[in-house]
Amino acid sequence: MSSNLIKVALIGNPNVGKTSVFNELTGLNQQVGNYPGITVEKKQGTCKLYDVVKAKIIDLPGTYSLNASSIDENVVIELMLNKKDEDFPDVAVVVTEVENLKRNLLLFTQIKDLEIPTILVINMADRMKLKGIELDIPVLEKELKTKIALISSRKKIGIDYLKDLILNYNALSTEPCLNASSIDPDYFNNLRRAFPNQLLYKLWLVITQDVNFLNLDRNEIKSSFTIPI
Amino acid sequence: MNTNSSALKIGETATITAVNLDEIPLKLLEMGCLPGNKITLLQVAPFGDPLYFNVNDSHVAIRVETAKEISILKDN
Repeated sequence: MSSNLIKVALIGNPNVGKTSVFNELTGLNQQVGNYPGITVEKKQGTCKLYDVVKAKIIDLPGTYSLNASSIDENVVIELMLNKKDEDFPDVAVVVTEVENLKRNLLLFTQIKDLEIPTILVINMADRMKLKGIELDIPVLEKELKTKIALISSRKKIGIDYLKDLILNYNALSTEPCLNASSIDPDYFNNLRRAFPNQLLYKLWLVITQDVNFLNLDRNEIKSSFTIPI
Repeated sequence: MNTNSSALKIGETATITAVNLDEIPLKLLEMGCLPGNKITLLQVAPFGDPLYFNVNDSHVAIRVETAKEISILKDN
């Protein structure tokens, strides 16, 4: 892997304009449409950030959370929870839109809890004035411990700033929004010892939710780790 | 007044006080059906079921059976 290639994953709720952002970054022309479920597989393209640095942009299907309920949502989870995947991102770009920001932030916090550098993109900024929405970006950045790019992929505003943020992804905080393991340190330390090669968050998902991963047997984990309530 | 969301009248808004986590689907929680958020009854289907709500700016149709598991405090 070349260090001059930054892997970027575009993640977000359905119908927020991930593919539009993807097209702006890569100069490609993937099909976009104003209805959810239009992107159902991973798509990728490259974006030249500086003379020597390139980014590999991966466009993912929309999902409301990491608790998948359909096959295309599963694409996102399989990628984000598999550190060994060749497309596992160096930096995640969570795309949201101004009107439904609150609902979108659930997914953002889930991605951030994976301890991946995460940039928050707020798309459709051109609609803010029309809808009478105001955002206090510095406060949001402080509370969410990240950098925010307010962009409009339709009007092509803010794309360069987003590219700068991707370029400097190392400066982003990877502190999770919520450190769930502090609830019961003993339990989580045991879990970590038993499955040293797996992400703690992934194990927790497997134990508490009805999800399955390719190389991780749910029953095996559950039999040795019952859920403390 | 403490009650559940199936008791709302069309146009009435309330604040969610508690949800029965065993009965409410995860998807609904993800969309913001959580204590502290607002819930408004928008429409009722013929024969009174399902109920069409605005929860946290998401529009969802919920069975009466499920709506009963969402405790609310009516706004006055």
